[in-house]
Amino acid sequence: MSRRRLRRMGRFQMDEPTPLKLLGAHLVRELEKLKALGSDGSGARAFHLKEVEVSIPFAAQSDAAPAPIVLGDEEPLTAVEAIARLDHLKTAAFVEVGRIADAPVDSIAVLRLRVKF
Amino acid sequence: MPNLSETLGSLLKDIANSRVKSDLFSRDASLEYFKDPVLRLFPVPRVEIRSADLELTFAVASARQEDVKTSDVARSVFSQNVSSLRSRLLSVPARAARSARKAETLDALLGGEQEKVRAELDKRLDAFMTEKADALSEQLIQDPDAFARTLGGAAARILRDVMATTGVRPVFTADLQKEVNDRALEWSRSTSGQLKQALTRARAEAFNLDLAVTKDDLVNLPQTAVARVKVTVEIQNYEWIETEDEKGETVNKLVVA
Repeated sequence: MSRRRLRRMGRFQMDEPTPLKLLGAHLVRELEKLKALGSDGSGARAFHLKEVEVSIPFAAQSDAAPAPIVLGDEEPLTAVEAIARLDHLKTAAFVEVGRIADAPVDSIAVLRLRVKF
Repeated sequence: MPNLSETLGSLLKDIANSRVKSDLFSRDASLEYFKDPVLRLFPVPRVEIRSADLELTFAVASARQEDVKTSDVARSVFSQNVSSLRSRLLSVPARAARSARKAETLDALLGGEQEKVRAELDKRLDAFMTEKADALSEQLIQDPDAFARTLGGAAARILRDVMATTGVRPVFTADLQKEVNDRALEWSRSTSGQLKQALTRARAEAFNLDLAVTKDDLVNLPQTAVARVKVTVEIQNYEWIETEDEKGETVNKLVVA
């Protein structure tokens, strides 16, 4: 993808870094919506969500190398446990692809979240 | 641009639907097998999908945060919790007159006027908190004990005003004010936590990611910029059963196989 296209994709990007606590809570909410989609009452369309692992890269605000953030590494967390653990996250970082592609490699790390249902 | 639940939901429904198509194929094949004297001896091919693992790569095209007004969330939390505040206040012990030997709860003193007073208290307490929600919500988050002092004074005034409209005139002493303050403090500490949780939920609701998921979007991206999601699902299989409804009539129902 060209830099121009990257910039175009990021045209609505937040000027401020995103609190990773908010990003994580959003991901958990999306997974709960996905779980609900699996039981829409139509037998032919039903699936039962068992486990999801999401890994999202982020670029730190400074060039300092950030540590990866892993929640549910040993054992996947329930949605409620994930929200409780995310609540302690104080980090804010850039998550849009335009920002990450332009960031020094050392300033990029991953937020990994494992959730069970 | 799509979001995560729509993108994954669409893919997972396609997997579940593929089993339907496979079953329809097996139905047609079974009829063909039945017609043929040799094939009739063979088992009819059938695909059973019990579980699936899916991995999707994507990129975050944009992150958007809509405004969340703390006072709007607080108004809703106040209204949901006003009846619990009223119950606590009416559990305060009071004497019906200075000469009364025994104290009873305000609720018990009200006798037949309980319902009317409860409704009026709910209305007045809710109005007090929602009208000043801008200032009170910040205070409840930052310093629930200070909020309780504001609430304790206001709640005692409201109690006195509402009681004055009834045939019951409890004696408002310093002890009664202290009991009201204690109830206000319990309520404030509990409601402060609820307000913080409601704000976290509202901010997460107002936050959205637009995803880039197509090959064109992802093809030249550096690997460090690519996000991944791995999903494990069980495909739920259902079967029709015949059962009776509450009137004893036969009905067909889909149940998990």
